[in-house]
Amino acid sequence: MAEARPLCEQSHLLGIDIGGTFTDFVLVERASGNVFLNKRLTTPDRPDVAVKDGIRTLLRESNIQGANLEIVIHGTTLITNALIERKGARTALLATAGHKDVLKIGDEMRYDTYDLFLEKPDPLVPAHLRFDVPERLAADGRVIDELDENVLRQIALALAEEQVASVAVCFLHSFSDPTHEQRARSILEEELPGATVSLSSEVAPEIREYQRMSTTAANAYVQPIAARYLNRVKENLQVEGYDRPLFMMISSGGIVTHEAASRFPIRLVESGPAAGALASSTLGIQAEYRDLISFDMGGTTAKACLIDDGAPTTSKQFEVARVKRFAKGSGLPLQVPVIEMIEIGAGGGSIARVDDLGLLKVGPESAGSVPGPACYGGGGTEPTVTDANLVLGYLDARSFLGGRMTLDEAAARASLERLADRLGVDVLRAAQGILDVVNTNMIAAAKMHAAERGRDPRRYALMAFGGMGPMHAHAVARGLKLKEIVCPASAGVLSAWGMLVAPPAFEFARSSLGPLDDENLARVQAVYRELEDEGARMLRGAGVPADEIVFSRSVDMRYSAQIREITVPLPNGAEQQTAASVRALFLREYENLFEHVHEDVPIKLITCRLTATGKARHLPNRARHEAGRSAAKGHRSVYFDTPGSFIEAGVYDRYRLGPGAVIEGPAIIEENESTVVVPPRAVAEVDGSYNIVISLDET
Amino acid sequence: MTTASEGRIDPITLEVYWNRLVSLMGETDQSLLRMALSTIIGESRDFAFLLLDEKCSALSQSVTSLTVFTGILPYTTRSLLKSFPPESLKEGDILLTNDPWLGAGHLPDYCFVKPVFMDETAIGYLACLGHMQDIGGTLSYFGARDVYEEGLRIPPCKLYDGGAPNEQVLDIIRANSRVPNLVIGDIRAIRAALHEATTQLLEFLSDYGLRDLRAISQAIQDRSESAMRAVVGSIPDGRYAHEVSVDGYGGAPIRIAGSVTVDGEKLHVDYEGTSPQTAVAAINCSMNYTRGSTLVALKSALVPEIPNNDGLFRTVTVSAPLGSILNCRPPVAVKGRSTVAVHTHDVLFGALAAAVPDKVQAGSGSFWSVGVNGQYADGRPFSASMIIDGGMGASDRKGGLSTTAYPWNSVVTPSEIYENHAPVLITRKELIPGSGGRGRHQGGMGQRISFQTTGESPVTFTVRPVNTEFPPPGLLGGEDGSLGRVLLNGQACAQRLLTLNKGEELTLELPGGGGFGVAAPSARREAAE
Repeated sequence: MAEARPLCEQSHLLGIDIGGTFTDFVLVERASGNVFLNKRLTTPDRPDVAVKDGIRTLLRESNIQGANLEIVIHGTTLITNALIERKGARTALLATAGHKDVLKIGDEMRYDTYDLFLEKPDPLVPAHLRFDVPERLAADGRVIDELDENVLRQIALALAEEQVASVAVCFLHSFSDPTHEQRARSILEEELPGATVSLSSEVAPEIREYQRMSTTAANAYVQPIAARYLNRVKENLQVEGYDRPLFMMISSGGIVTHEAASRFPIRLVESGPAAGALASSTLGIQAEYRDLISFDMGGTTAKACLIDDGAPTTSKQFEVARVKRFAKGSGLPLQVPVIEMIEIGAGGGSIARVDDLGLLKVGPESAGSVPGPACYGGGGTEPTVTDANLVLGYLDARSFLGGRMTLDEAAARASLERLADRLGVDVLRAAQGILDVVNTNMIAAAKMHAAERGRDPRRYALMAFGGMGPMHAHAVARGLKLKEIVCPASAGVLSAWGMLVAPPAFEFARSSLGPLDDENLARVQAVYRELEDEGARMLRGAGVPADEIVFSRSVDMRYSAQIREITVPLPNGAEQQTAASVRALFLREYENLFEHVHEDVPIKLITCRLTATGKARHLPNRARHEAGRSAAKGHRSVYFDTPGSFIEAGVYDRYRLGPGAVIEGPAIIEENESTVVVPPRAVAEVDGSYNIVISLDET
Repeated sequence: MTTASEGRIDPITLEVYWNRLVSLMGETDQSLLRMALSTIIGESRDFAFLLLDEKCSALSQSVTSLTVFTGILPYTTRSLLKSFPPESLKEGDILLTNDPWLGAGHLPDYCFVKPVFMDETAIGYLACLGHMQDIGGTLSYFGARDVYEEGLRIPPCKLYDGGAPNEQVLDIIRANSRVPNLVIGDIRAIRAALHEATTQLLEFLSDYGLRDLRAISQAIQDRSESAMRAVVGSIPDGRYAHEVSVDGYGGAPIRIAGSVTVDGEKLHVDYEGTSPQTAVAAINCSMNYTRGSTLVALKSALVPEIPNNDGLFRTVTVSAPLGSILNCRPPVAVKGRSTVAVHTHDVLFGALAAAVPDKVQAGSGSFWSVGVNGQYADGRPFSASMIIDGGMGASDRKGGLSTTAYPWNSVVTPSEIYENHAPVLITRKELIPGSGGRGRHQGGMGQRISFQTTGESPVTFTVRPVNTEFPPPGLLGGEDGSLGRVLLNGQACAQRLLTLNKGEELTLELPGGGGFGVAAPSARREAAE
């Protein structure tokens, strides 16, 4: 594609984030930092319709021409939804002879050990569209059986008959040598024109055939609809006068051109939450908090992400379309680099109940927005987290959502009374119990996540956003033994804002197994050079000047007898590395994670990873701020666990708090979409970027 | 807030504590998964951690950890404490045994117990069971004539003394394994995970101002007991009996007979009528293992959602005649005991089907394994193992899952990983359409997997099949699943320890699960999904 024009002529950035309910639009004037917002109801069947209308309205209202847009960045749930709702293309799978059923056989594990009736997700490709292709590589990449092209051509005929629109090709060990897969594509292009082809050696060239096959099948399954959708959005933008590349947010926190996104649409899964975590890390860096737990709690779920030294932690795997909500292992595995997030069923709408053991449980069932918590007055009678927050004084019946909605405190209390009776406690204890339990669920999940990553949670600060995040942050922080909480401004559009600060970036990986020695290291260096060429091509296509492209290498390694791999960053100047120096890096990383090393065990190289990154845009987060009048709105009684009684807390209007303002707890700071709770003995201070930073006491 | 030291714990506080104790054990699982060296622990997850109170009652396990160990490790811990009384223990001690009659029924399962101290008093124990990759002895699963041929047997010993490793014991372990680095590496990893769990447990106690586990343990167990009593109480009183025939592995077929007697809120399982222990194959179960296996079935059927702890089983008793294959006497061989124990589920579900048909499922064809050992041409040893599964049985509610682990749970080793660990080629791994038993609901499909040797040097295969003589049984009119088969170069093969030369092929056909209920007359076996 043509080199894009230099970036200086255009003055505005547009971010579009499709969510479950709303599609958010954020337009930022680069010079002033001024923000224009728009929200449309998401149009699930044709998401491009809301996108088109929203863009048009926003441009008209802000009086900006499409041609003045420097960049348009888009994040979409289209891919995730297509996988959940099984609305993808008719897809076939070609596998090494004898292995076509691997897609169905799976990992053979039950995600719930005791549920005799558990369900597993159906494979994306049914049995009659899975085909064995004679060919075979050995584990070291040697060809054992050549690809049987005649058989392949016959299969292609059958695929045409079946009106297959997309084909996934996944041969064993193809990451070692993609020749057979590439040849298969050439033949398919001849015999099956019009169908899209996804190769495992391109989509996910990593060892573990089931996960790679699942990823490749998912990519193939969504490729035709992704291409159609992206083209429509692009055409709509052209109508508005924007003819520069459309950028797509990907799950690893970078942005890519829509061409790259069309090739690897599976990389678009869960890009909205990724953008939220990226916003956290960017705001964290601006506020000089480089180690954060990003904590996003909304109406139904809570999400958390660890941010280490300014970078969200990433994972090499992801799972989509779980058949049992929040149950790890119940979805389709994807070998896709993602900003790693945990999500649990804990939100304002989470319902409290008494279980068979007589214990208090909260969530994952949610009252949602209809009927909603009992206090919404929409017919809900079951007590929720929001009802508890209202009765305990964290929420105010009259200032909810900036006063646009009045909450029914009597209804909340009635729902809690029924619960309290069943538990044999009073209403306050029941309400505080709901918060204790939901907070414990979130704390436990965060601790487990940290344990999986080998991290001690205590070193982090908490970046809290989402409607409920800043309200629960103090308890979650205390449970995790964190000392500081950062509540960013404009929390309601944080994901869309995160897209605007995302750098052009793409992750590449290729498994290349062998003992760690100088000979293999040389081979691995060659793999990195190839990946760098690929990365440079992709980023130059996105308009990134060659001298701005930064490559970072890492390599998955393990003890040769071990299975679990660890990812070891390789510093720049990789060409000078020796097996001995890489071994030292591995041992250091291993010791960091596990506090011990095995000096005498040989090490194996598994997968080369490369990230190619362009420059991120610098963008201040401008909060809505109404200087002048006092921020103090009055006082109200709020229940705090310690001391275990209601105490008078000052109530403040966040929009009137400017940089430097200091508020001592107990205090409540209200804004339209959220409420910040400052507990007793804590101090909140507004920093230069309008973040509220809460320092908890040491007890 | 009501605290544990005041006695009764309110249902909110208990929920918070219990959640924390279960997730703490999950964190411990994660730390071992990260640290383990071997495939059997790191990939197949053949291990468990258990927290016990000061009376050695099981208090918590991770959500993925198996009930079988709830029925074993408390007994193992008590046995270890007979040799090393609690008052003699100190911080940093770790006790060990792999004795099949004290521990988990066969020698590869090493049982570690670490006392947890608060103010110099043992307030509880952290136990770990880990399957070691190789502990010497015969490579055959079934070929040992007695336990002495099965490898190194370690009576109760102190593996770490106040934090200092017992180098003599470690040396003996090292000298008796074909892959000493893996075994010693895993032992170190387990020790580190136990240490981390101890730190976390003490932090939990100090967070809530608790001095011991007594009140929490009592509250958890009392509530669990009440829940189990309620479920058992809802089953009509009576004695429900069932029996199945299972593979004899070279000997006569084995009969597993059992009865479930429900008397009010009490439930007794008795295996009277079960075949005697056998000298022909290493498939004898110690009572510990039989009890553990029995509890898995009862837990899944009756109280699947309550976290494991001893309170669930206070009103449950299990017995088997001494000298039977489910309560064997030393020194019979026991290595392949799980191939017999899995059938306790068929018996228990078969018995309970008469009383609570909606809570049980038909027989499953899972839990095979195949291990390879040998040396590369340059003399380096290799060793790899894979647990692999047939179909699950169907139930009143739904068809059985294809190729899914049951009753044990594990992840199959990816073929690409296996081929990187050993000079073998997995030439096929495919579903067997029609292998699930027909019924109102059909059993899950089994699979066919083939291995070829690719190197010049021979490769030793150790195969552990299940259901090659008797298929996974159907239930309440459902048909049986298919039979499992072992084929060498296309011919049926009775050997379970085989040496394959270059180009030879070993094929395993894993059974489909049993069907549930009577099939409609027109029903055909479903094709592959």
